[in-house]
Order: sequence, then C-alpha cells, then structure tokens
Amino acid sequence: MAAPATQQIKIRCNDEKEFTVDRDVLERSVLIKNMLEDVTEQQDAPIPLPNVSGPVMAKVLEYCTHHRGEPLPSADTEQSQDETRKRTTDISEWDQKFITVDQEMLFEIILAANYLDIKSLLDVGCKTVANMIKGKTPEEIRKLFNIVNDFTPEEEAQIKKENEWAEDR
Amino acid sequence: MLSEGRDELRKNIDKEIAALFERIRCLYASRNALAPVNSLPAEVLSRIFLLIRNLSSNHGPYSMKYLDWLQITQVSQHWRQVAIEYASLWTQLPNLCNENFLQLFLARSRACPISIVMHITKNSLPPFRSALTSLFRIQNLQL
Repeated sequence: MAAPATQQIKIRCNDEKEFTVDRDVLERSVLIKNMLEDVTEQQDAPIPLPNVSGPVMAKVLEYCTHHRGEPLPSADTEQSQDETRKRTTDISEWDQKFITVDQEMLFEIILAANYLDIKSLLDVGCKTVANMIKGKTPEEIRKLFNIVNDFTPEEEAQIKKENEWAEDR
Repeated sequence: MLSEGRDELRKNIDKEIAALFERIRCLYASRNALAPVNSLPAEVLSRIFLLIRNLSSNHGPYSMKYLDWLQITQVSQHWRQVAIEYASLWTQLPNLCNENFLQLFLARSRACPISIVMHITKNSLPPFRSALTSLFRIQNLQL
C-alpha cells in the first residue's frame, strides 16, 4: 500500500521567493503550525512571511528538514530543557556545522527562528553567540562584533567603580 | 579683569569640547546600532547573556571566574542597558565582601527570587545583613 501523500504547503518570503515544503517540515515553526491549524480549508495561496528573506528561509528549511519528525518541545520538556540549557552551551555536530555561517547570516537565522518560533533553532543560535563571547574582554567582544565604546564619562566611572567592588573579596 | 575674561573664554571652550565629545559618542552609538548583533531584540540578547552568566556560574561562587560574565555589561551602552534591565541575570549573588556590590545585585534583580552562597567571615557580615533585607526573595541560601 502506498504511503499517504504528505501535504505540501507554499510559503512566500519578503523578497517574493517562494518555497513549497512538506507540512511536517514547516510545522517545526510554531508560528506556521498555528497558522495552518487556523485554516480549515485547503488553501492554494502561499503563506506570506514578511520578516524572512529567501536565502535565510532556505537555511531555516535545511534545519527543519534535518530535524523533521523530532518531538516538538512541550511546556514541561521546555522547562526541564531550560534547566539543562542554563549550564551548557554544547551544540550537536550537525547543528554546529549548519550554524557555521558568516555573522550577518547567523543573526538573520536567529531573528528568523525567533519570529517563526522555532525554539530549538533559536537555542542553537543563542548558544553559538554565547560561545563566541565567553572568555573575551569587552574590547575583544567589540572587535568581534564591529562595535565601539560609546559610554558616557559617567557610565565609564560607574563601570570602574563596579570593577573595584567586584575585586573586593 | 583680564583673568576673569580668560576664565570665561576657557569655560566656553570646555563647554564646546564637551558638546563635541557628546556628539561623537552619539555617532558611536548610531554606528553600533548598525552592527548585525545589535539587530537582535532585547529578549534574545538577554537570553544570550543568561547563557554566558550560567557558564561563568559553572566555575562556582568562590572562583574569580564566577563574575566573568559582567564583561558583557562593559561592551556598549546598549548591551549594558539590556543587561541591567534583565532582572534574572542578577539573581545569583556573588560571594563578596563588598556591600555596595551586593546592593547592586539586590537592586538589579528587582523582585526575582535570589540565590546566595556566602562564606561568612567578619568582613562579609555587613553584606550578609544587606542580603537578609531581601529575605522573602531568597530561594537558595548556602552559608
């Protein structure tokens, strides 16, 4: 007996790029899952995603396709995962390879994961950034992200004071 | 009279220099807003900060590395604001002898439950008393 055909869903990104994707892949996104549940009739018009561009969506879909079939976090598992997440920034080998992209794409993926409500992808993105930052001095962090010191003299003085307090052990 | 005139002139120049510095600082802030990392909304940046704090916490409250995460509050004005406004970040009070620092953590953690690990010595008694003023918020206390 042939396997039941998977429903295909069309989405349209903010640069008009369209993708036709298996429903279970798209449902990794809680935002899209909820949208699809709200639609009772078969819809041919693509779902508009005004906050995601085509190239970023292609990456997101690569992630969702790889992780299709995995259970979505429920409120309970999310809470216990939050506890684990607190102490570690370990990322699986595949996810690490997947998220090895330039900075601009990395932050675009995190923004898309946040917008589309894909918690596991948001988690991978945040852990990656945390790993980039950990152990670095403020100056090294600025250099890493191309930002500059924009503190007022008052803020600089407060920071100096806080550093002295922290040393007082 | 001549000296008074010079003082006035000097004051005006100093004012002008201060205004120029402030203008440059504002330009730095605008430049920072263009960095891809700063496109992240505050809630996502806060989530990253919490991960970094927890990595530091893994070193244990008696380690000097326990407070390494505070570096993120010294990167830029935007990062500092996001960190200070995120109360959950300030809930693990360090083992310190400095009362001002402890007060800072108590104030910034606002109404959140707090966790205190403290090695009681003669010097740590005043900050410990400070911490006890927030007794109703203490979720975890190790002495």
